[in-house]
Amino acid sequence: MQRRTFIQATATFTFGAVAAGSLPAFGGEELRLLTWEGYAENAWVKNFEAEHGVRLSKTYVGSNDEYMAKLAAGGGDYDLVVIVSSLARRAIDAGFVEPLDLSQIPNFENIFPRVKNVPFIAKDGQIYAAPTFLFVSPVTVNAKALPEGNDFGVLFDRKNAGRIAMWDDVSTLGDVANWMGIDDIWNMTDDQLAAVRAKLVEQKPLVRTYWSQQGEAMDLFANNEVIAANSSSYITKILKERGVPVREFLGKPPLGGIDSHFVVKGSPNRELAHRFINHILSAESQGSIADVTGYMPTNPASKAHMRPETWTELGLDDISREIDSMKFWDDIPRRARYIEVLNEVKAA
Amino acid sequence: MAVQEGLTAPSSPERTRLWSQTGILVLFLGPAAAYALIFLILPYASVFRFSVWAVENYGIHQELTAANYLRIAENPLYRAAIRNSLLVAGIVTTASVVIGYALAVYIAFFSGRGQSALFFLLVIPLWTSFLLRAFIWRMILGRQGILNSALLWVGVVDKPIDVLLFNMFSVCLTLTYVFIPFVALPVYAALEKIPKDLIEASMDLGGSAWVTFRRIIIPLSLPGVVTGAIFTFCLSFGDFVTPTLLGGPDVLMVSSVIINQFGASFDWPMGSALAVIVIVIVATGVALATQLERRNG
Repeated sequence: MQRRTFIQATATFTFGAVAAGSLPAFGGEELRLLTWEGYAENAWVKNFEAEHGVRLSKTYVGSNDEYMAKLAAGGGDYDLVVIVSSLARRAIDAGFVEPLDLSQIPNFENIFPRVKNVPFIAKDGQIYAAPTFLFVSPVTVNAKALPEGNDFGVLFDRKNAGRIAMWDDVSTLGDVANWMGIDDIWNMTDDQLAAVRAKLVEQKPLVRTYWSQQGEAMDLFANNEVIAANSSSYITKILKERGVPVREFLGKPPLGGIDSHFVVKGSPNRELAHRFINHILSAESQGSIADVTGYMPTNPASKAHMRPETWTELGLDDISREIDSMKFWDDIPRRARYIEVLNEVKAA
Repeated sequence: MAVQEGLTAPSSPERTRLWSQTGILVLFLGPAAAYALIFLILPYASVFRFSVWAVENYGIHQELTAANYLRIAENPLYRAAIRNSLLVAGIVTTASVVIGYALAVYIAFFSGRGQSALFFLLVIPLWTSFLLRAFIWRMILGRQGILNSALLWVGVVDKPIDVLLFNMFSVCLTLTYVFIPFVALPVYAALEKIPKDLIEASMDLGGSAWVTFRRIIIPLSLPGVVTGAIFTFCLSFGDFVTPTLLGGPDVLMVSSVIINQFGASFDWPMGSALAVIVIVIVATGVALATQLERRNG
């Protein structure tokens, strides 16, 4: 995700604020966040701290799996946690998190209707999370080598042999299944999984390599090793900033994910945690976050609180239009099997 | 009475001696034993314990099961990954031993006044991070890398060649580069210790250079070779950085699969079972090498 490698962009900002001695010594409560770097920057957190007389302590995590490992090891050290849509159901079922009291989060109502009604944040009629940020998983291509075409099939085209990279992640199985017209991409039958595996094995002679870190994928494009890969918007964005001629397009239907804020089970700061969620869902916070970080808001009212070009650059017009047909990263009941299939492709 | 007393308890000075001996033993061996217990025995025991448990919904069930081992036996994926690791480790160890040995012989016997400078140059790469050394090979072997640019410039090829990077070749090449010092250093140390008069005696008695090398130098440097080979084999077998960075679509090594289990799959028991198998394989390799050294050394 783009959050992972966000460090550089905000490091200067954070350092500046800390160096200026702007961290007041609160006598009051402390709210402990387990989150992505960039989700809790001073620009939109300071006012919350001041307003409530609390201090936020932030722990950053480098990968989605790390969140679950930390929670599995005992979540008692945190009040709030950000979990990606593909792991949300697991976190709820494993009892890591507790239901929200939506009456304390009025801004929840302003979330894109499709997004606030996703099934994986609900259980037994209760809502466990507030979707706070969106992301999409696009195909990034070299715009010079492939000036035209917006089909995921570009990754399977023999003309591009040796110049294709694929993400070494379970989401790649979802990407390919989505393109193959499979509906329930995160809960495929054995036959469907076998079909996707066969497709990926067939693709292997065309693949230059599988990438695992975003920096690695950028390096592949920048050094002209590959001309097409399933990737992330962040990869395209950074490559463009570096002057590498790339463009991106979404699959049909578009595939993406949601990061949501959850309250950790047994948190002694429940109420404060709810207030923080409400704060981060406000149009003002979401607009500010989009401007600074390039993350996609879940509250469309944030349009009025961000620079117009941010809205355009993030492709939020397209997202707003297609959000109802979008497929989100969802729980993978047979996650271990999916990972095994991915490895089977490599071993084939 | 006096005799009986002497039998039941040591006399005072003797007791002091025993105590001080025990004290010295504890003082000197205690930390080593504690280290072995905390950092070797307990972790291995823990890995083994996990390997016979199962995981369900982010919880580890402490019920005895062989399911993980059965899964490894049933799915050819795991055999393929272990086979790939063995193949890579075998190639890298052989290449590193041959090149590292030749290098050590050259530095020890033929480099003359440049000996210490060469030795220094051999050690320098070890100061750089392993990750960096592996990554640099991507720049050398890539489509726009140094090698391809040179080939294009000379005119040997008219477009960049792809076969240099993202395959078994690039993984083995990089690992061999990384591990040559691990062989050359212990071999050099062993060669240095060979008394010169042994070599002279062999020559004086009419032994040819080849006979001297085979009968004197090789046997006496074997401990160095075995040490270097064990290091190289174990470290290249368990490496995951190089296959991740330079492996391409085909080189799946067992360490990458293990990392998957501890990370994305959250299946520590399965990862532990694979780790136990790796430990057994590597331990067998080390035992064989030690046997070889004992027989010939």
